[in-house]
Amino acid sequence: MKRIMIVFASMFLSFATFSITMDEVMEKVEKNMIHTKVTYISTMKVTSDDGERTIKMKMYVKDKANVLVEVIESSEGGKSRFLKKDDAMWLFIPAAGRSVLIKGHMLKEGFMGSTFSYEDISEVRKLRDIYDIELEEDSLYYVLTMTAKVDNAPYKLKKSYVMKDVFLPKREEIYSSSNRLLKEIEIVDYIEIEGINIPTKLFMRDLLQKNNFTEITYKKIDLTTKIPDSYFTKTFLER
Amino acid sequence: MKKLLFFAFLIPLVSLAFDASGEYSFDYFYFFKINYFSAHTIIGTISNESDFVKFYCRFHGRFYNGDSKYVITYPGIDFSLLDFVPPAYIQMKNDVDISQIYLSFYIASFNIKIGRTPLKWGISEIYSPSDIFTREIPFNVYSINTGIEAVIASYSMDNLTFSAVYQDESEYENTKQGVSAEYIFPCGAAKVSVAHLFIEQVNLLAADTIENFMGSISFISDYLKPGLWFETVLFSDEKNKRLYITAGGDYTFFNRIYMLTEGFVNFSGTDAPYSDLSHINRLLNGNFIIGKYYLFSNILLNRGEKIEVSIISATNLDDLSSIAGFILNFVPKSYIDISLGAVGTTGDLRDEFFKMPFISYFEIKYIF
Repeated sequence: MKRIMIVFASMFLSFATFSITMDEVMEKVEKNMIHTKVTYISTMKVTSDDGERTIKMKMYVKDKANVLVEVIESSEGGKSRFLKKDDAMWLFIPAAGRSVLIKGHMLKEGFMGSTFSYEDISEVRKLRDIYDIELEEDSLYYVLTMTAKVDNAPYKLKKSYVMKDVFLPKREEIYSSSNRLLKEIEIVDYIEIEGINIPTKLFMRDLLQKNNFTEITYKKIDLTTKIPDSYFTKTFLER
Repeated sequence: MKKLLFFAFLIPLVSLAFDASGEYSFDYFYFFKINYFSAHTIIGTISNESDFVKFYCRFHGRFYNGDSKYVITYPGIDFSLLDFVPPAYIQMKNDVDISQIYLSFYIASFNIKIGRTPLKWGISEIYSPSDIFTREIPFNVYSINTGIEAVIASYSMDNLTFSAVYQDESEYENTKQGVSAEYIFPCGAAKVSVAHLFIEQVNLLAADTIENFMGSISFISDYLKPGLWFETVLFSDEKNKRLYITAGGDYTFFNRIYMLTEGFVNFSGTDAPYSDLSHINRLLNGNFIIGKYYLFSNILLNRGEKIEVSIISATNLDDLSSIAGFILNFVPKSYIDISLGAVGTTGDLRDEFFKMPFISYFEIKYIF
């Protein structure tokens, strides 16, 4: 009887420990990975069979419904701007003098030829809002298995290996709905600002295309500047 | 020598002060059993911008080699009965120009652009009847995007944007003014616009400039997964009202096959079969279409891959004639683009897209 009680007690304790850990883990991971009211300067290095291309961007993130990305320099000289308003993403093409709606079926395409999609670049929703998450644990990582629970989730299935000490994914794996590994993301470096561990260098490899990978480096991360609301308008996009 | 020295100093200075980019392309055209010619095109862009001021300039030079004329084919019309001698061909001439140059100022949600500015007024992808400021012929991949000389002002209040365009040239028929209000909603946008313009109408006897008012309502959305858009436009002059409707959709299947379809209705279009006069008026006015019901489509295979194949077409649903283009595109490097294309028509001699000589072309483009 004692033995049975001990087994039940240990099951209860482990369950309780897991449920708390799960919320704590997600709270800390989301705090580190998802930032609002922030501006970045980032450099994207796209490597493929064609060689290497560099794209420099300025990003303004107000909240999940208001994101502005400005391409301020690129190897091909082309400049453009992207505005995310709610679920819609608009691209301004200076030479044509128009902005076009990047429709939902195009959001999974590579952002400016990189392995990052338009969604990857502009997604700031909380992970728990878009995925059902299961937590496992080994000696080094919290392993999060995330299954899409909303139609417009960027991925059907992804696995995240979260470093226990800093609550940042060391590695993420993106799977198709048929469980085929499509992409791998690695956080190479991060910086601590105001108690938040912010990734500063990410590396994404497209496993469906040989020699196709992209590195993003974030610089000048500013969590204090007040971004004017007018930046997230069509007038600012098309200026 | 002084000029050379001047440019030797000027070019590096301009390059330092501005962001510069450009493209060079070589094109070769073959008009089946008629003629062939080639062209070199260089397009340059320089710009400089801050959050508040922007300068943008796009210039081009196009230089033809060989028998560079576009021989005009006519449907079976006996011109001698009409006492009218139509032009036999259009001579393609070397062209160097500034296609866009403007200054843009932005302050407190208000933007004003002054100069030769590009502008797309309508929302439809292929044929937008409300594109009154810049009317591009659909599928014309060889056109250079030229701006309009205008003042364009816009002001945004969160998701709502008001715009005004004032285009006033010495030519009476080019005077146009328009205002619009566009609202961005979570999965698209809706736009209402009104405009005042003069349209020149030419026939065999005379040319007349008629004052018109235009009103349009349009929306675009991807709420149902495919992109969908709808545009309705009403033109009104002293005597007539003309209603146009465009509706279209696009979708990418399996991340590789992109399909776009757009239907267009001109309620005051001419009924098929088309008279000699309809064909001649179309030619004189430079209209792309004259009938009532059309279907445009664009199918692109291997979207975003190194080798892309696209088929574009416009079909007149009254006489079932069509014009279609096939393009094979190869991108060996991100800065090199090679295309092979062919354009042909399927109609009979009296149809809108009547039998015309088959055109093929080759293009190699280098982006720098």
